[in-house]
Amino acid sequence: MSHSSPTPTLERPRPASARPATQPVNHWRQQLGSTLLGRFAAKGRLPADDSGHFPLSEPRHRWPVLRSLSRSPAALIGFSVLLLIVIVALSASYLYPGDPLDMAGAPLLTPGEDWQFPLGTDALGRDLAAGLAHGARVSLMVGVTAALVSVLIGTLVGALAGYFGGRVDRVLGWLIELFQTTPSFLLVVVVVSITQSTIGIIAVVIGLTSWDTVARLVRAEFRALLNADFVLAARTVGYSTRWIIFREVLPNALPPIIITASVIVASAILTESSLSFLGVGDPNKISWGSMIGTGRDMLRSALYLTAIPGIALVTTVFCLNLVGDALISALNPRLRGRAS
Amino acid sequence: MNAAAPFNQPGQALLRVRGLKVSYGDFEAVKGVSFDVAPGETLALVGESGCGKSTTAMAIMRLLGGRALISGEVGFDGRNLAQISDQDMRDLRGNDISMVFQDPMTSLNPVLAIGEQISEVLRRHRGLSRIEARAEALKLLKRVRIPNAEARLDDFPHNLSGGQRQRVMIAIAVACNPRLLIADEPTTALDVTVQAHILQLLKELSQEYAMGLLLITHDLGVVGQWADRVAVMYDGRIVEEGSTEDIFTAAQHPYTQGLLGASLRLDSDSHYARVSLPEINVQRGANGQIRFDLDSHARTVTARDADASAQPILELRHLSTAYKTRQGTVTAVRDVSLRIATGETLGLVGESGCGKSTLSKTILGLVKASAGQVLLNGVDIAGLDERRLRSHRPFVQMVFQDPYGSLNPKHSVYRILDGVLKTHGEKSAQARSERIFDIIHRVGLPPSAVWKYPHEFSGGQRQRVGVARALILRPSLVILDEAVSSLDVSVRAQILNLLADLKQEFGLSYLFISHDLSVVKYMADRVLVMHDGQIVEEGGHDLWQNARHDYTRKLIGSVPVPRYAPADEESVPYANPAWQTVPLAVLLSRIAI
Repeated sequence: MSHSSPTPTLERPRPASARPATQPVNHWRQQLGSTLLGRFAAKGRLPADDSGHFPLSEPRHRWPVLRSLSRSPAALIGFSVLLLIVIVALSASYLYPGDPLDMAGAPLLTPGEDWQFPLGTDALGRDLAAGLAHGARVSLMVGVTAALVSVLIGTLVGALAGYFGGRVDRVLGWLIELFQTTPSFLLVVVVVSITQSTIGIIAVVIGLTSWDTVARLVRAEFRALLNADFVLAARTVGYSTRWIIFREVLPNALPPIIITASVIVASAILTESSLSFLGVGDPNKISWGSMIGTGRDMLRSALYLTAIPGIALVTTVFCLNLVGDALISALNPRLRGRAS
Repeated sequence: MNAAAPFNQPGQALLRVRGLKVSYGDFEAVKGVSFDVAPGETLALVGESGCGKSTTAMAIMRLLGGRALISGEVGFDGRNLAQISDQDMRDLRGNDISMVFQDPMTSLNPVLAIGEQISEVLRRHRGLSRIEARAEALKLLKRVRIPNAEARLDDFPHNLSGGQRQRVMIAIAVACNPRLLIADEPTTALDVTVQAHILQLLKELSQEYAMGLLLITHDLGVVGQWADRVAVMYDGRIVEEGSTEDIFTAAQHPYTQGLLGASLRLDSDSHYARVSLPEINVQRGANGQIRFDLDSHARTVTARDADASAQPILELRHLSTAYKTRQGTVTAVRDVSLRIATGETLGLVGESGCGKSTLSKTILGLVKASAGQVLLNGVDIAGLDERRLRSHRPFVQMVFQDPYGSLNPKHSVYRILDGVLKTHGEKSAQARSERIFDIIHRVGLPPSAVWKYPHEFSGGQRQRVGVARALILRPSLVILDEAVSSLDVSVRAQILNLLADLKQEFGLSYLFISHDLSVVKYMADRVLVMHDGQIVEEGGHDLWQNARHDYTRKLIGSVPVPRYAPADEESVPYANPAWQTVPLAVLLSRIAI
């Protein structure tokens, strides 16, 4: 940009339609170029200067967030590993048909001892690799469902409390405090023992007990952002409450939400494992948590029983964090341009 | 520059800066600055934001972080401050050289009583006992004229007003009789009536103790009233240096001339209807050479006589706004009545906390009025809920003060403007797009600006986007709430010119709210003075000469006015001899258009 813009002259500006929409001479070349080079040619398709022709739609790139993510090595690694885990989870029944809880071979084979069971077997002779694959399903399902439920409820409650303030804030504040002060694990145990302990219910209940963190964060962000001039400007223009909450304020409050969500995924997976350990989990499903729980007894003699599902859990959470971090920079226009 | 200034014999200089450079990695913030400060002299370092004036001061004090690379010579008392050890520098700081910062709100420790904070310096540097230090602190508080100093000694910073806090800061700074005081924008955060007292105090202290004063400021009014000599900085260099009189009456450098022309003076009679403000065009050559051009155009606005019989666009009748706080109800706006006619610019002046921002928020319905009427085109909108207010919104829009905070950082300019049109029922995407490009063109931005995000613009450009957002709905009234207050002088001139041009083009009315009297004088057809939530005086352009209310007089009397005026009082471009030094460049740029 030039450092000092010209004073506007009082001539009538040409309407946009009067300008040539495209430069006809270069048209086919541009098309060919962008077809051949695809996204790599994005820079070349920028309007050459500010005079004359300019596009009616955003010229630089249609998916700035995806583009930015694709340029961040951290996000790429995180995504590919997560994708791998998801593929393994989805194809678990093909890779390891049959019930992973069935006895498959000799008990306590260490990894590599028998190549039929590359990750070994546990005290009951169950295949660890099969358990890992089938467990990924349950653990990912629990983690993602719980995070979704808590982020949805938490964001909504926090946004309403923060935006409206006053009486609404007070009532919702009490609700948040109620959930904060209740030991959430106990609540999950109570609810699960009253209802059926299927994995779906467990996931939702974990989500229902962990939204208070999100709500508190969102409320604080909203309180701070409401006094920002751009929100006042939005109200001056006459935007609806819904528009202001979801289009003006929420995008600016996203970073802490994303970080918290990835933490909730991890803690939900662990909560589920604690439930399995206490015996109130779903007894018919194997999960990483329950594998860690059963392996815990032989921590000194057979470390790999806890270590392998543990590593899977840590890797998943770590990759979620990588993706979350990259997502935050990708969503911030100021950081988007930089290589991260 | 001016290594051997005639009025400064080398032996006399207290501070002698030669070829000072500061760089951060590849970026050179200060590119070889040289100047002298003599004992008892006030040197003003003037420039716009980012010119390196504060960095220069911090480099002299060695307060820059580890990443800054400092070279050159900072001679003080026969020693080169750039070379001495950290321990020696610490002893020097606060003792022989001290500094006053811009923001008195954050530079005092909020959990320590002010007497304690002053004593601390005395005990550290002068080795006084606790009791002696307290007695000395009391003397200092009296010296900086804090009323009822005995009782104030045990007060905490939050008990004091902004001006009093700055006085405490000055008391701490002069506690050890320093020989050099560096004041970095000491009055920028303060009201104009307070500013005059603080500067008066600094000047007195400087003369009493034969203390050199390095005054860093962007305000040419302050410079013209208080400085002995002036150094004008641009882009890390001093472009011109001289006595205040020389700079103000016969500036040589086009940048200085532009700054002087662009900064409005309360004692000059320029008005938007007759003359536009000169704009500085800076061109950077391929070899790094910088060329300055001055650009100005005459403007003729047929003065509209406010037709009393016609319906005003906006009329306030006995409007009051009260806030509920923990301490009880605070009435920020009290029984305010005013009218704004079509095509009129109504100026509203007042100091911070007088209720002028609450007033603008009440008009826009962002805050509910507690009593009275807001008649917009004859319809009372004061009691309307948000849904019914929406149909009235397009008629009144607002431009906000802070161009950094008033645009959503997550949206491109296109999206910001598109949302406004969508909300107000423009269904066709093609029509919306045309209107967006049209308004962007009219506020003087290139078409490609619509795809940019707020952080990609400079402050002035952002404010143009803010103006575009306000105007895209074709309002009849625009509220400008301190809309140019946070901008640099030269950028402010551009935005004021833009506003004046757009007003004529669209037939707009403005409610121009500012604490800066000279800007209001330039922009307004009629002026209201607000104090403590009430309108205390109303007047036309003659108000500035014939103020009746005491508060208005006090306000006008506090505005810093340079002691020297350019040879031609009425600043008409081209007729002013000062402008004739660059007629060729201006002429060429005219022909090129």
